[in-house]
Amino acid sequence: MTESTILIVDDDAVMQLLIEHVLTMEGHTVHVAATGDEAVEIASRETPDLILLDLMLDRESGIEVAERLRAGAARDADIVVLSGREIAADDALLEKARVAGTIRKPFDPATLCTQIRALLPNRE
Amino acid sequence: MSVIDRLTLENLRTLGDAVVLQLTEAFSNNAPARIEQVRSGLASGDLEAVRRSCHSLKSTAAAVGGLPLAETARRIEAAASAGRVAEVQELVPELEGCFDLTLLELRQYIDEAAGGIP
Repeated sequence: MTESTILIVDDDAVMQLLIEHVLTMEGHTVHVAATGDEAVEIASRETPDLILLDLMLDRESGIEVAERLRAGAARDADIVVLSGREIAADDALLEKARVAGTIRKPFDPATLCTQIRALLPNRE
Repeated sequence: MSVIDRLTLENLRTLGDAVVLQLTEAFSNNAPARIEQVRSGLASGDLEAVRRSCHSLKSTAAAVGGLPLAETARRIEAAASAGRVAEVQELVPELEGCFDLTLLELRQYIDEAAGGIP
């Protein structure tokens, strides 16, 4: 079983807790950031394999944070955005930030597990 | 009619009863601030603040099984996004009432499940 380091970037305490528990139970090392600044700081220090990034943070756009992460702290990490079903992100912007996929909110724990496993193909 | 989807809560219990308690407590602690942001945003004419608060509330409520609250938040988010002030004004009392009921039912769920949840 391959353990990954995953960074959650979401400013909502409930979503942070839910995702953190699911990923921890799956055996991953999990870090949590509530802002873009925190995300950049943690990504610089922990070099996550995967970043789950809320598309609509309180004070900034997830795409902007993705671009900041790509500019330095997380050049090679997979970035996946978390988004409500009605949010249609600009595909060109997602592509520019090399976003690997989208996980739709809300989700139940089993669905999130399945999606994370699919994003981490090395995991057995 | 219940304002809590018990299947959502039962799915969360696969993470452990303590996690359900943490999630419902986080909702109880954080959602009131979102409701207040909706009220103050509406009072000051800041529909963008209303929209953002309802966007967040929508996801949070759905995560703990508050589906009617999530749906009301979604409708306000859409109305605020389109600048439909009268519709937002009409829906905010519904949001507040639904929020109170959601908190009440979540507490009842925790109490009922007290045998499994410390």
